Amino acid sequence: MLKKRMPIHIEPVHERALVTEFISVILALLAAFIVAGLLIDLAGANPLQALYLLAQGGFGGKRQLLETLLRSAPLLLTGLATVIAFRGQIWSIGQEGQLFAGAMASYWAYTLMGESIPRLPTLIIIIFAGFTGGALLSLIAGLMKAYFNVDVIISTVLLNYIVNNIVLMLLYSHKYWMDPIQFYPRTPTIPDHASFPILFEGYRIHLGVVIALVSAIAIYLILEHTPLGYDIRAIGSNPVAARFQGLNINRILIITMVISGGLSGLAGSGEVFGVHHKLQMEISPGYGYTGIIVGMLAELNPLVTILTAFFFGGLINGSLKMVTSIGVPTALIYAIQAIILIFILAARVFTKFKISFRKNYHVP
Amino acid sequence: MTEANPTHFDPSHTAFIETISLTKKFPMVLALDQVNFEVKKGEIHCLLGENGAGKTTLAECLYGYYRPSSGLIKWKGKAVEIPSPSVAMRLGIGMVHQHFMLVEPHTVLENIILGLDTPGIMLDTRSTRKRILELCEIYNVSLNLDAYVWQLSVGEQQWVEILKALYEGAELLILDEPTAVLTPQESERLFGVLKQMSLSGLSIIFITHKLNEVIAVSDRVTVLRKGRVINTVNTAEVTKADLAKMMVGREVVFRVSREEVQAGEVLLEVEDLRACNDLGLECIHGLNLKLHAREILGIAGVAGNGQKELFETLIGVRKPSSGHIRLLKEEITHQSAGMIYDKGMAHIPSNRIKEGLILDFTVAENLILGREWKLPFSSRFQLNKRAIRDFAQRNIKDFDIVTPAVDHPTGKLSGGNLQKVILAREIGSQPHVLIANQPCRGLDVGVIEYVHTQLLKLREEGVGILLFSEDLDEILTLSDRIAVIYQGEIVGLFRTKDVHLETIGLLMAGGKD
Amino acid sequence: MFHDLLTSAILINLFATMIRLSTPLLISAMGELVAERSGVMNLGVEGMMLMGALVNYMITVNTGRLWLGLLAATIAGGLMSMILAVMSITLKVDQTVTGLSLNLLSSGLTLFIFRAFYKTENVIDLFPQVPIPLLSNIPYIGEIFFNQKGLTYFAFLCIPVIAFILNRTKIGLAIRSAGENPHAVDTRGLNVDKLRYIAVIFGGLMAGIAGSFFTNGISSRFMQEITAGRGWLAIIIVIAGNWQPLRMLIATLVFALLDAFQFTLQGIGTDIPFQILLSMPYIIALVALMSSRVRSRMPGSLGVPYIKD
Repeated sequence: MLKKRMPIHIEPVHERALVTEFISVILALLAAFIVAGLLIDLAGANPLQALYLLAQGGFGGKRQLLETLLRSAPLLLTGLATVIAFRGQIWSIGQEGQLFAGAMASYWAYTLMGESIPRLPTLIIIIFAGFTGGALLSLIAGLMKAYFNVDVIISTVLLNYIVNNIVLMLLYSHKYWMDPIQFYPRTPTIPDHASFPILFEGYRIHLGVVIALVSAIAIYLILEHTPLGYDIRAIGSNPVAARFQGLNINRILIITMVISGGLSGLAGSGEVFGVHHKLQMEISPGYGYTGIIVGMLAELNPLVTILTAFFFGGLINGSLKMVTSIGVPTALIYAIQAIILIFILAARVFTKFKISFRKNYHVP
Repeated sequence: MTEANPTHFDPSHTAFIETISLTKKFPMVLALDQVNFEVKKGEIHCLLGENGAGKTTLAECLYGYYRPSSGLIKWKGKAVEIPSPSVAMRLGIGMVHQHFMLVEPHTVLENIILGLDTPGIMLDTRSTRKRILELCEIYNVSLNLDAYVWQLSVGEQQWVEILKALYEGAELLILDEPTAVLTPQESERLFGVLKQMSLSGLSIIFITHKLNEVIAVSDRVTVLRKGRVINTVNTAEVTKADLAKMMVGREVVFRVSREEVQAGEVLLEVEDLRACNDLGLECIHGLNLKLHAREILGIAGVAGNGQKELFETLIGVRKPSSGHIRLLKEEITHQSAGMIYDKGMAHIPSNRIKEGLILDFTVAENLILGREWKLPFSSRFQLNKRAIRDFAQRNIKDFDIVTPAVDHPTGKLSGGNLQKVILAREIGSQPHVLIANQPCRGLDVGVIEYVHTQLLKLREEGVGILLFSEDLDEILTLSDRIAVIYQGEIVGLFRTKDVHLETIGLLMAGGKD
Repeated sequence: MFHDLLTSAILINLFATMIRLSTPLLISAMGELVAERSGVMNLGVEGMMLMGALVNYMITVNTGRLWLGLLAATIAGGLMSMILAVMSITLKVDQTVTGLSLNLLSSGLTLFIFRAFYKTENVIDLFPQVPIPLLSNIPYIGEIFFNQKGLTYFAFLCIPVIAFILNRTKIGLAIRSAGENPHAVDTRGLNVDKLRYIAVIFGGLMAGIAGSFFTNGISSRFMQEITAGRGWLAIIIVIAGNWQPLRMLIATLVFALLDAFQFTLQGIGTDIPFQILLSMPYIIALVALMSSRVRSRMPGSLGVPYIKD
């Protein structure tokens, strides 16, 4: 039995055609939404109505579009964190933990400052602390890889769990950060003095959205126009050749991890100081993990990540509408995300490889 | 080719195995073009051709590893389909690949037993061991069946491969460039055994690009060029020059002309160097050597005697456990690969795809790999794309690199052009010392000549070149001096003009005189 | 506090809990070992376990039959691993990416299904303990080792059985060879992809069984992310055990002991915030990884898709 051949044969295609690529993405999305429709149907709701609500809630008007933009900021930042790390084939999936680390660090910086200094320096310090918090957590994983050869993917997962527990500990005890006059696991509300400024009167778009968009352009410039970006791409494509040509792999790895973690940390401060105005578990409904999908669907291109982040931001917002209108759980969206990813990954194979089926012959 | 009679098989007259119009297309190339080829029972048949001529592809088709695109294979007069190696093995076709197909962390016995059709679900170690020992006795080989393959010498590993094929009852044995890894003496011994095998009725296909071997071992020879059969002749009726002409398609100059140059001061000095291999075992045992300006020092040796580790230690990607390396009298022993490169020690790695180039990068990007932080390619924190382009354009012209554009993906270039990109990059860094590890492996004759010419030119410009090669002819052609490496030590050092091939061969095999 | 801990009743309880909690770790790690020895890095174990835990809960709630739940969980793990196999073996998608996306899928899908269909939290039965006659009567030892659940015995039985299969059978040798040098396997006429399929699906089935233990051996209800990184610990156990079953057992017992310690301490009550206790296995896992730099037995082609030239 083991000597029989598989009926599928795969050969690389040498020229990738844009048309097939486009069609395959559309087909993958279609397939993903068909699966989603089935799930909704199983849950007892009307799939078409649910999908309509999903689209309407995410992209149905000016308010929805701006809310989606707001929602896409943390996704863009964690997506960019994914992009820069994965470009170097550094499989960091610590975005979720780094987001919370950034949130904690900036909240801590805020508690140290209070309202003792003017608003502008306060904001600068908060943003800096957010970057540093995420960067430090990420740095731990980077150092462990550089000096102890611990796989980044595993150390970042473990650090996510640890950070999650630390946040819970801080929020669930009056000894630490829990609001002293309440019994909810959250900190007291942050005053306007330390909150991110709002950009448009009447909407929630805040400074963090600008930070995210600027970061996207910055990451693009770093990757394409600096020797550092060259090095990151080099170790991502062929670490052995890079090492033979004298590139310092560990240094590049650590710098990349610091930037990647910092971006996720910024997402954390944005959510605390721009959206929720307090530190609580709800600041991230898994933005770190969605960010990984966002970055991968953009084929690790920082500018395309803006689009995918926006798309997924819309899906999340739409799902909130779906849950309030017809009671389909928001969790659906996290299943859909992953289904889209899997279908698109598979679809990409069809654009990169020629797949042929052949008869299954037997060994005499 | 005459039509074989499908019902009767007469070993003395009919072809044992035969291909009719065998064609194999790969996505980019036509590897075999209507090949007609036959081997008789009990004959040693050489397949001669340059790299990329299609010798290995033909063999892999016979062995069922590749499926031909069209054409016919006849085995003992009957048309057969060989969809997989297991079918080939069952028919009686065995193959020893150029790159050994051995599972190194497993034992010799486990390697031979893998994939055998013994009854039951258990590994039948007892009877297998007994039969292998019988085979060993017939051919007078001694092998420890419980040794791990990585512990064996390359020559012993080759025996494991041959035993694998014989164990399956091969009647046709295909050997793909078997001598590439052997010393001249080991090769002689192999030829002897092959002749003994052919006398007992075994047919052998011997793939090579070395003319001497064709003359030494074969009964007949088929010459392939660019996927086509040029001719099949009786070896006794041709000369080396005839074969060379058939193989290359033009008259061949056997030697690149090398002018004698006076060597200069010492550039690179290695003193009492010790280093370990990937398994953590010491494999360079106190090695000494000196490389002068305007000199090519060839390091001759059988694969696996520490060349790879010595190369890596010199360029700084492997940390020595003790000893000294000095470049221009400056200690560089514990410096990083980047610092060593910056100080003027360039290198050509043996595996250009894995160790030399980043295939996803453009040609222009690859040409500055290792110098991307240096002027003029970047200033402060910004890459200077124009300078990178200009540099690429100049090198593509100077080194005759065939590429559609400077920003063409490197992975799409041919092997020869890949090597030229590396040469351009390394020479472009204006080194004092160049360390080349098998710079011509797997290249066509034309490119080999080009590489040799470039190395000699560099030498005349005053660069010291340390040349590692498993190809003794190459070493003899290029080197001013030859050092023989055996088990991590230099066991002999000669001026090329004063040395005999036999002496080197003996030292390579560990026999000190 | 530590004085209380040292009384023998509590110590026996601690070690018995350790053995119980090592069950899912050991089963999933053994499955992962087989997959990795064939050359496939299955990073989706966590997701497969989570799926197993949910499916076991669903089927058991609906049918009231524990065995049916276990069977369904096993199949669920197997199906998840089929996705991994198709993606990484047939389509040659990067194994890291595939494993990750499986985890994301599982974490979203289980939460959705649970929220959509199980609004009331029904409690299900757990498998009973099966004392082994005679052996369970040995003082201390009997209570710790021989008064456990069926799946626990199964987990420990897996160690010699899998070691035997890998080392002494034809398919075991073929799987090991596929993980070291798939080209060699191919030239011997064996089908590398098929071997890897078998190994990966075996790993998935084992992960499904391991996952079910969370809802038929530990907790009688399902919770979001109930596996809490135990799948990742399984991967770490394989690395820390240097791909050798017996060493993996030691690593498993260390993690299980920490878990049991935290259970026991929570029972007794302590000043240490329990979130810190919960984090102990992860912290120790990081330390274990830092100190297990020797990866001499790591399969040579682990994580590398086999593409014939």
